[in-house]
Amino acid sequence: MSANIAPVQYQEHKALKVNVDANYKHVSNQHMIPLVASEFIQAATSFPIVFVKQRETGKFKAIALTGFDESENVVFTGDKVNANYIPLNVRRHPFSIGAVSANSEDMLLCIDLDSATVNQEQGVALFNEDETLTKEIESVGRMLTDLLAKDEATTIMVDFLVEHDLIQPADLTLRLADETKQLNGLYKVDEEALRSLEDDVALALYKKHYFPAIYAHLSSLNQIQRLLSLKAQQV
Amino acid sequence: MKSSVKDIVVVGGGTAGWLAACILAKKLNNAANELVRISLIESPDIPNIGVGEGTVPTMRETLQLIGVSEAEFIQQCDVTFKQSIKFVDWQHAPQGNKHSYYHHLFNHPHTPGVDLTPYWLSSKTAQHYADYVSYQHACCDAHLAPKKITQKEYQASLEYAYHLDAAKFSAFLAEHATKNLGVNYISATIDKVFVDDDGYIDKLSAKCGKVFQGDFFVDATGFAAKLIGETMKVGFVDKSHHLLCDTALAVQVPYQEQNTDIPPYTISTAKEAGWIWDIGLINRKGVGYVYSSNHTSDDQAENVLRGYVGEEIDNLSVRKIPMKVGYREKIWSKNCVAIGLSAGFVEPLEATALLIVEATAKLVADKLPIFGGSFEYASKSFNQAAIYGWERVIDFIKLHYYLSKRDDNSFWLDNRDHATVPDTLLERLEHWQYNVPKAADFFSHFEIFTLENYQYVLYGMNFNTQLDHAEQRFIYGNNVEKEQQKLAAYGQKLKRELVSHREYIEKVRQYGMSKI
Repeated sequence: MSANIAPVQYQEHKALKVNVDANYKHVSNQHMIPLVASEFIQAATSFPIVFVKQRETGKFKAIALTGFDESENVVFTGDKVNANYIPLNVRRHPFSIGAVSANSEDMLLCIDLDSATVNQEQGVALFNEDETLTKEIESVGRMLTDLLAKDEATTIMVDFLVEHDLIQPADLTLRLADETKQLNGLYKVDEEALRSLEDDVALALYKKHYFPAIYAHLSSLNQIQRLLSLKAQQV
Repeated sequence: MKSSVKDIVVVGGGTAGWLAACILAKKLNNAANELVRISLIESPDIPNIGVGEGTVPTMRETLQLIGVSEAEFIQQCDVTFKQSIKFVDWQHAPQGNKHSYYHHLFNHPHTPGVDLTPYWLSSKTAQHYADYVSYQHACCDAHLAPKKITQKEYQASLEYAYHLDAAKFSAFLAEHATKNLGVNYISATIDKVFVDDDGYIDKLSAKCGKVFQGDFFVDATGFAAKLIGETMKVGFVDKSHHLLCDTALAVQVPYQEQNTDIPPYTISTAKEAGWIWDIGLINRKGVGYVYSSNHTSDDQAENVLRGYVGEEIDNLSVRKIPMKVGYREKIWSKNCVAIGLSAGFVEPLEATALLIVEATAKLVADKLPIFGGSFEYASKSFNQAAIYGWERVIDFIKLHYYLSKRDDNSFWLDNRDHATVPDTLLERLEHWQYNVPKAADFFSHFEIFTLENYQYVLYGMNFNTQLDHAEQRFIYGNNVEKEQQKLAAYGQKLKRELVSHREYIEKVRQYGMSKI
């Protein structure tokens, strides 16, 4: 996937428009999409929500599973969307926010200039004539700031679950038409451990509002069956 | 005669003492029941030797057994990984800039039971033996970590042990033993040991006047051997006629640059009258010259070490450590067992010091007559196994010297002289001249070093097993090609997945490691 990310600036980007792609082609070769805890309930209607380890740090993060192979996506196929809910991390494209510098808390709205959605003819303009951002783009900016906070809250939740031994491997054996496939590296909440929580941990989970996310995640695991039939349809 | 054990007293708090205390506490379930009480008495006045920085893969099992977090161990003891010992210049003395080397890898064959040795021998290839049989060779040469950051504690793609800071490791174990394993810590200098009429240790008294009673005593007092030697008068079996090195000069060398690349193996470089160890930790190296004082002078030895380390050695403190090679006639006598340097010592060529501590402590835990029964039987069967282990370790160390072609000093000529080689080793080597080593040649698990260890050293040193008229040995047919393809493919996969050794260690120091 190409990426040419630059901070949005009037002089350079005044002519640019973003043409939202209803099929979200840009994720059609990703088999995992990052999720934040506050969208688990909606995401559970469309994807298996699982935890995986980040390749760089080994730390856990929450994702929506969208395929069974590295570059497979049976939900966002490129010309079709097989989901009721679109994760924030899909919707934000081609925008992101980044810190001004490594130690700074000041955030800049950035755009992926190589995205197929970015052009000069069609879609929503980035800037008004008075050099301010258009109201659509401003709302994207607010959404991204919000997403960043939600992402941090999700990290804190996942760390809490790991710390209290509530996460366990969820290795799956998939029976596909012509092969069985072992899916490793996925993790889920340990239901047994959830049933035998210490009182103080149970209370903490309740007060932090983690239970809705936990149960959304657990019920979403059944979506794996739906993913398999989507895959079968596409073969 | 004493029987049944309630109070176990470990005397001495170096790495050996604390490791033994942890293993005994865990295996005897000290923390969870009142069956036994384990105390460790450490003298505030006696410094630890604290040089042992190399381990072998059993340490991974041991740390798991005693229940420490691998990430915390790595973070707190300046740990790096060890996947091999790289032996440099052991075959021949260097000629100008030409050095010979081989790896004694920790990985066993990829497919158990498939032995590529006869194929390597008959191919007459210039490829290193270890490289021919294992992808770990290439990963070592590329300085890769043995595992990925997404793998959990103690899980890995390649076999490994650790390099560690001995003083920090000892403190780390002490904290774990007292906090999590219920070991009772006592700071006192033992001054007198009292024995009963049967010669069993009854109690100890300290300089401060305190008295400590116990049913079973672990002597971890180092070379002093206060209990097993001084008190019980158990003799020492000298082995300096087999292993000629008797002195070490050790130095800690800080890295000049912060991000210095760290080899994921110990480097052992043969020198005119011994060899130099080189162990890369996270912020410094541990380097030492082990030599024979009968074959060189201390001044000359210092020159050799200076030549290896460089001029910076002039600003560093070099410690001289005399070594007494051999072991006790009995490692366990009556109600006292020796663990660590009090039990015996061989040069650290194969990092056996902590290995023997681990093995001995586990064996003691298994044999201790907790519920009654006799110390006599327990110690007899223990000693049989332990002494057998010591003898085989000496055989294996000697093998490295005996196979050398070096003739640049009388040290090497003496080492290659049959008269200095244990018969048990000569017997095996004679057999292996015509037969490749088999698992069946190593019948006891107290061997410590077994088939794969011997293969890596024998054929790393280009030992010649003659395979004439031996077509029947090539039993795998086409499967060999398949096996080689499998090795190559897996090696490629590892090279894509694994990051550099330093990068991995830095990540563990920053992010920790997952327990699941």
